[in-house]
Amino acid sequence: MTQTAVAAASSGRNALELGDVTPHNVRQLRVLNAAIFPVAYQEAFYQSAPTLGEFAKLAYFNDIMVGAVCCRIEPEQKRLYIMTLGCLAPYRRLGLGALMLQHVLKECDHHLNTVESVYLHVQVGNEDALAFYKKFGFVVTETLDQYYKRIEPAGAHVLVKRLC
Amino acid sequence: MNFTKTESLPAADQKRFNMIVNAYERKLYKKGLKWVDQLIKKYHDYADAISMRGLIIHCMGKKEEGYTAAKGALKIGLSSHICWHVLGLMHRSDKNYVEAMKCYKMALRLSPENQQILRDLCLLQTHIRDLDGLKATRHIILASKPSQRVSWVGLAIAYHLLGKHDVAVQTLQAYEDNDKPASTDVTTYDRDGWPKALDFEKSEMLMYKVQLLEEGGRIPEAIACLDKNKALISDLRAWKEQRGALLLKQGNRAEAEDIFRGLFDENPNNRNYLTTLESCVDPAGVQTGAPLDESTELRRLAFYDELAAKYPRSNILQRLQLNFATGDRFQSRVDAYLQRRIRKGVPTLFTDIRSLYADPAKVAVFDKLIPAYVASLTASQTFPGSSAKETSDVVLWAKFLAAMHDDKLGRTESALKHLEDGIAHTPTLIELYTAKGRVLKHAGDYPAAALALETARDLDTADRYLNGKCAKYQLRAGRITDASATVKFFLKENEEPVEKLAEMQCMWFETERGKAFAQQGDIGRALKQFYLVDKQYNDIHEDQFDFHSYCLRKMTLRSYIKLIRYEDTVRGHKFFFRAATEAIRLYLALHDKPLNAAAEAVLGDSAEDKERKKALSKQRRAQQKAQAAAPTEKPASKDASGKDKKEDKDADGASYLQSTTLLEDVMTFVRPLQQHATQHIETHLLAFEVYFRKNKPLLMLQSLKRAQRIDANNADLHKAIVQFALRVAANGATYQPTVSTVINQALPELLNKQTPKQFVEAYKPATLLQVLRNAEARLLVDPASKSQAIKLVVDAASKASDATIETFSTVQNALATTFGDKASATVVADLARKQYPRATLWK
Repeated sequence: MTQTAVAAASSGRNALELGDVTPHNVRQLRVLNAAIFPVAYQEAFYQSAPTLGEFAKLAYFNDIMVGAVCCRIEPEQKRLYIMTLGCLAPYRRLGLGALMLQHVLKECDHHLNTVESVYLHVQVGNEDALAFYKKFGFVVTETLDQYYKRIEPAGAHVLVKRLC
Repeated sequence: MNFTKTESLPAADQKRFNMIVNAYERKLYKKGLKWVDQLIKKYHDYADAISMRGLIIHCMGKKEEGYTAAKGALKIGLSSHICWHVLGLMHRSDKNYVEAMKCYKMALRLSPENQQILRDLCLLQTHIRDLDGLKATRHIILASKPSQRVSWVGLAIAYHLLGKHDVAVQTLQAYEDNDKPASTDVTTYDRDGWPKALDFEKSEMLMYKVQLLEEGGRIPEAIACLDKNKALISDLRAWKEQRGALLLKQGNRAEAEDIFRGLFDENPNNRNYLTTLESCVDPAGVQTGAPLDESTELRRLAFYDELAAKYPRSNILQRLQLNFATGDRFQSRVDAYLQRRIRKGVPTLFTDIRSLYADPAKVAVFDKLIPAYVASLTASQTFPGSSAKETSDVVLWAKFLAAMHDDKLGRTESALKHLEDGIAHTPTLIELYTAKGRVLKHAGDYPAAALALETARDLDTADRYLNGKCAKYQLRAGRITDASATVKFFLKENEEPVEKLAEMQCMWFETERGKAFAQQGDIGRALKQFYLVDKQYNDIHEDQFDFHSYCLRKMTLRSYIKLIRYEDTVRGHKFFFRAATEAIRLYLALHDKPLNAAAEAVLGDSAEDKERKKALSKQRRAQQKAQAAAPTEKPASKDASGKDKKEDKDADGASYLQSTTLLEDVMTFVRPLQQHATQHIETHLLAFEVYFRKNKPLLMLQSLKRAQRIDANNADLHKAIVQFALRVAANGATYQPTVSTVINQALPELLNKQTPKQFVEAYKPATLLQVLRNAEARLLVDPASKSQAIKLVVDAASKASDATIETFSTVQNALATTFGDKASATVVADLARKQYPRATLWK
């Protein structure tokens, strides 16, 4: 179901918005990631999150924080790595993932000198995620067998999108 | 050269003196001090200058020195009005009104037409509400300055405050007649129909005149005045509101209806417009008390439906009809009301509907609808009977409402389940954590409640509301130091939390802190907190001083009158009530079981010791009087401006505990409640407790009669009446004949013309607290009935399904102390634990 289809079927409102990560709300990011991802992120991840500017965003549905994206630029390789992008289960397929990803890709346009490609890891078996990224022009370039240490399956696809 | 008075100086130096006065008025103290020192150098015994110097250094914080200088100056210049005036100003700023008044009057005797002194006198008289004095002073001012508008308006205000509306109107009229406008005031209107370039002050004066006419009961004249001057009024909405209200008062409902329809159209969310409009259309319907008969209910609902068709988004229209709709009509309307707001995600929805829970029939409807929402939304993401898919957040708000609903009905576990479900669904919704805290608080588990609020606060540390709530919950859990650290989050680095919050007049913090100290048995610190709240009200009252001159100058007369009336009753506010009742309870406990019991015990009850006690308290009182007269601070009060901050010598509030006049001290809290919180039965019951200990039969009687008028069935009142009757029986012989006569007349009325014993037996207790107080009264009239009384209480406790944690705790304590029966106290504690398994009190 696309976003418009949901809006048509529902009698409520559907406000999708992005907001900043700040030192004041970074705990919400922590709670959110704990609910979405099987991996626990390090303290350093949350300390850096409020410093990432437009490359770390919170996604709001009807004023409730339900999703987030965090990326880092790897200047040596001239690429952007999407560390996390996720949304709470009940709020998937509403367009929040697309909103976050489009925002990140658009931001990359402002950094064309430093960012030539975007890449990320998707756990093997996560077909929904794979389909989602492919829709935005990502392609699988390789598959790592032992990427994750404490979860099963341990394998991960590497997805890449070239920007120029 | 020896000059004592300004008038005898050479012109140049007189001018210099005026500059000094000017510098003082503009608060340029340093400059003023420099100039005045130069002048004194030139004329050593120049009293006026020495006096001015005192005033300036007094303002700069050197109060003692200031007084010494001003009083020294008076010795040289006893006949100088300036010296007296200056001393008066100093007393005034130290809130020593009696002395200030004496000084002003002395100054006026020496310079009867001095406008400045007259003005200051007026301010003071208004401030202390010496209305007759004010009237007299205003007359003097008017006689000497009849050309100034302020002279007339000031006099009108004085008559208004005295309740002489007619004279006040005449005064304004006289001014208007003299003050013929230069050109005819024809107002032009701008594109939006608002008048252009209006004389706001003239407009306010006319609106004030209308208010005077209305309050004096001259409705037709008030309407005529409005109609005649419409073009001159700048606040058109106030004009419409006033005219509509007057027409309704006059009984001209049709015209009033037109006006309020127009106003409601301008703002369809104004409750006052809606209710007034309905009283125009259907006065009988509005006045009918609940429950309405069916035809009235249908008629009223038809009125709401008609408006709702035109204003579908008006919140107040949808909400107010829920108050009187019944049965199916209530259900269909409240169903739509709730669904719309759950869909929208309104966090305050439960607060909005909570008042409807007073009606059990409505509670039953809620109990049917709300769980059905949760079930249907969980199963199919739709509301019951609808096929429209809702968004994913809607079920969350339904669960949130269900939790509040269950909490209200005492179903703690079900409420927590809803919230845990919600947190599993959307762990980032902060309201779920605050709600969890609230449920746990109601269940009596304060530490867990505080933890929930800490979680909520951590999720958004930029939210001041959450931070404040978190501090409050920490105080409830007895974590006083943590709470101070929490409030510090929103302060600057070097700011001291307790001081800073006092400066911000954050009274909930002081009250909660006081309660937390009291809980820990630290009565001194607790009382200190409640005195801080009292001081806030002193400050609020003092703050009005500036408005006495400002409002007259700016002609904001209607607001000024509102302010004066508000200030007169400011201690009736619930924040003061809460702090004062807590403080009184502490004082009563302190009196019954003095902390320094040891010292008291040394002094026995022999005649000689009684004398010694009397002497001690006399000494103490004299000392206190001296302290009050001198411009020193009370232990609780700190210099709010922080100019000369002193070390807090009484951090633990020991001075309150050491007082030998506890029952006098407590009157600081009792008196304001008796004046301004008369509608609360606690006021009179607590006053009774104080007078009972002071042995003042007439005042006891007065308090009981006032309480009886509010709620004759009140549990505490029942016991108090019995206590009073027994006290009279025991001590009546020692009362003066006049006192006895009054009491003998009134007592039978209190007792329903029964003996105390009959009175106790005739009482029909419905609640657990009533059973307890009745049993205590039984014990008083018949000590032999003790075991029977205990049985009644324990039986009632085992059946009390709706008794609060507080009531159970009261009952438990009473059984253990008043009845001295530890075993039955344990039984009640077990019952309480069963009903409130999470309450930390019984863990």
